[in-house]
Amino acid sequence: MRPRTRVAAGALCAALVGPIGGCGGDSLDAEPLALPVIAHPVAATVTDLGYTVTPTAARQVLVDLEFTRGGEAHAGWPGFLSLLVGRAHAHPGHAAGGAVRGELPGRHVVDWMAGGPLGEARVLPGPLDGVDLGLGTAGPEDGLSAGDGLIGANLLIEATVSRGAQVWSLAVAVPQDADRRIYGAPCPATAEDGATLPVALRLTDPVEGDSAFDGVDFEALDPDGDGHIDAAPDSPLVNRLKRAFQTHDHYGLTSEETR
Amino acid sequence: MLRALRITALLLAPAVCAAAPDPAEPAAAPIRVYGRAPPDAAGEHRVDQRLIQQKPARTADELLELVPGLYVVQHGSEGKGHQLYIRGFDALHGSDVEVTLEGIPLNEPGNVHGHGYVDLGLVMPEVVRGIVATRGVSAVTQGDFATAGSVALRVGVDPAERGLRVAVEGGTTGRLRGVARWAGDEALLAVEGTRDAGFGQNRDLRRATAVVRGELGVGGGTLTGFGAATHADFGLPSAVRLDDVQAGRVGLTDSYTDDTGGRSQRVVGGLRFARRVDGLRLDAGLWVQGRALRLDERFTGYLDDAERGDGHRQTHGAVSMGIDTRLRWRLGPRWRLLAAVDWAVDDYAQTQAPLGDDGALDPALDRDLEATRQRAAVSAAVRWRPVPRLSLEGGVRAAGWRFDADDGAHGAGGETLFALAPRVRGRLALGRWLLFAAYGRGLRPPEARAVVRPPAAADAPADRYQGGAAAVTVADHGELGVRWQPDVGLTATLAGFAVGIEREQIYDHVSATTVERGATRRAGAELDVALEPWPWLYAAVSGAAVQARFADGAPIPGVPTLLGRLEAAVEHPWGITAGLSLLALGPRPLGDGAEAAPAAVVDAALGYRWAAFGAEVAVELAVENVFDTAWREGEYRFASWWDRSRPRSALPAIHAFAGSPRQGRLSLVVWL
Repeated sequence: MRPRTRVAAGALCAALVGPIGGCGGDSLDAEPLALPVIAHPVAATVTDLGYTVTPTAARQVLVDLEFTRGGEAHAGWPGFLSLLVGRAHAHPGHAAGGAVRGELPGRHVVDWMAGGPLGEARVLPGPLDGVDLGLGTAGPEDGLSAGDGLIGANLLIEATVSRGAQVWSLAVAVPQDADRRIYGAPCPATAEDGATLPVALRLTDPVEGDSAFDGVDFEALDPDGDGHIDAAPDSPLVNRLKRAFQTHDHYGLTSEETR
Repeated sequence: MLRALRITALLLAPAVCAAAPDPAEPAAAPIRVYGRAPPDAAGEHRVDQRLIQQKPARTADELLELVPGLYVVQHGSEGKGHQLYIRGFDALHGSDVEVTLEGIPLNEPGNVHGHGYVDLGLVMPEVVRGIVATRGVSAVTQGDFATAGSVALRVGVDPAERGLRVAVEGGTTGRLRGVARWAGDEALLAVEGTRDAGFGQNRDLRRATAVVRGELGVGGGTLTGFGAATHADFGLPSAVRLDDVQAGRVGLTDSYTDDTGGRSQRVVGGLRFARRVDGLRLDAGLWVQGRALRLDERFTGYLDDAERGDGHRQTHGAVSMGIDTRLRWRLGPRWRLLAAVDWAVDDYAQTQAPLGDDGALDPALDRDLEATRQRAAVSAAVRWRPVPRLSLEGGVRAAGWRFDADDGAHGAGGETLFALAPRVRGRLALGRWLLFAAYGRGLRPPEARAVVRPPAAADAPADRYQGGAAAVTVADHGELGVRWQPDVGLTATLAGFAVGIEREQIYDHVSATTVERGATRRAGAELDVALEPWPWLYAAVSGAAVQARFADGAPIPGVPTLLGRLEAAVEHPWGITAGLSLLALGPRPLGDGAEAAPAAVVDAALGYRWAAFGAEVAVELAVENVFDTAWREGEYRFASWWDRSRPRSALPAIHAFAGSPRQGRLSLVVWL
């Protein structure tokens, strides 16, 4: 090597080693936003047997809401993992099927008739696809009075059921299995300053159009004709509603509804 | 090396001043000139052997740091395979980097811990004689997992170092390591034993390794036999949350777990026959491997299971074998033909079971898989040199895979896949300059598990929840480069590259489905400079800058955007030896605007070798992280819940694996 080249090479090495002999910088983590979670009021539904169910009261215990991007709600959507942050079950760096982007921990007694805020969730900025939520069993720890019909159940629905000139009043308490959790209820939203995060209880599946009360012949449930339907625990109606409200279909919102 | 560079320059000289031979002159006797041919692509890099010898590496995995642009992360302890990043790829444990040892493929298809898992604990650094890397894809012989590039390791000992070499090494972490190596002209035998408590917590290691290699003249050719075996028991620390580190709840080198670890066992054997007849060179190999791996890990604490914890045990047992044949045929003064055929079969069984924090395994397995994978491939390429200064090569690799898998937890399936991979490259010599252009398609087959369709959720349509169909991931590489050699002691190579993947596929270990990650794009530049100011000093400086993004613009997490290295080796006639390794690591995007910290770390080694009592003796001191920089070698964002007295959060947070703090190792080496 020529002397001049040698000097240049030495200067290059010194320039590299000198300033960065040994140093470690700081990592920068993402800061979550605090966004209100808003319950959408529940709407009436029309069943396949022609009954119209118009709720007059609907309360439910939701536990530990988690807002997600990708995951079960949208498996197969192209590019859905583009913002993926894996849950690292296998080990860090391995991808996972969906990512939690926001959370509202704790138990929440949601009044689906009144709607309104449940609390403030911590959410990472960016688009969301779904919400995971637990279905809790109501108890005194939820601030309910001893005689509250919701105690011991997850969901209490009171409604007016009508078909033609016939009208019934309905009251049904729906229990759920312990630790039952709903994954991937559609929640198309974007977490950004000023935004709100919607959750909803849907008596009608907004995508497929079926009703949670499909197949229920209310007239047959009122043999004495007094116009009142009280569903006993473990009755077919309660079991049907229990199964229906175990699927994410009855909690989601469409993108049009969230605009 | 100096001689080699000079000869390289001589070889290139005709390209500059080529003149037609005078037919009137009598034919001269042929003169065979030995030297190192220039690379065929800008991304091709041959690591200088002095750097290999003087780098203060603990394992052969760490020797991969000598490949410019390749970032190596240990997110466990020394006994576990490393995570690799190159050209914008997070290659995990090897899913995008093809690694071969003596021509034997080391990537483990379908390994329970990661597709293409590579663990170089099989070979000790003292017997690695050559590393040739092809960043990107340009050669038709690049096989499975070469979606980001290929690395080929060769075993051997420099002629000047042959004989019996015995070394004892002690380290500041209680490390005790012994290596005995005997090397003759045609045979090599080496054994190693290591015990090390490791730095921080839960990084202990116990390992034994043996390597044997021999050559024999047979049938006018050379028959080479190679064998290697290793057994390692090691701890596996958990990643620590950065917020816990910053609050002083844990130390950076700590682990939340002290009961997680692994056992790795592997045996590899191969025979290779090479013969040259006139214009034909035949190279044929046969290899067989046996593998057993067990890993107990817990990375997310109690996030998913607040009672027992989220640990799991993975086990993997495999038997593999393969054959390959390569023919290089000189068709004329300007034409060469390369043809290659290879076939391999991997038969493996693996399980994954939940592991409680009390050490009890859940009998309900997450995975209970038996699978067979066969691969057959044919490659052919033609090289044409229309004029001496121009070389053009084009060819194609055609590969087919057959998968049969039965997972007791998720069902059974079988599938056959095919793929074609065209590859072309060219090189033009212009004086002191070499210009390169290349295009190549890299292939990564899916895991055998991907052909298993898990049952769909009861309330969901199957096509929505069973994941995408198994498919071969195809990576298209384009590369332009220039190499400049103004002096025999100075070579600089600059390469620009772009990589596109239309349909990136991974097998999601959590949901047990094949997940499509959509399209990805990578583009970047690499600069490699090799310096030899004096015959006893060799240095390599490299820099790489890359942008790696998904199609929607989001960065691919974990990929270093800037990576710089200085590697230097001193082998002075006075007996002084030294190695210097500087890593300059730029920011790494982690998603959502989060970034892993940049760092600069220096490792160094110094030795002195002299003659005493009829033998040669050397004392060598290696110091890792000379300035004791508190740096984080691996950073990841995911959710975890370790302290159950604090509220659970499922939001991702930065977790880190510490890089090595300052450590010293002192070796006494005797050559007999």
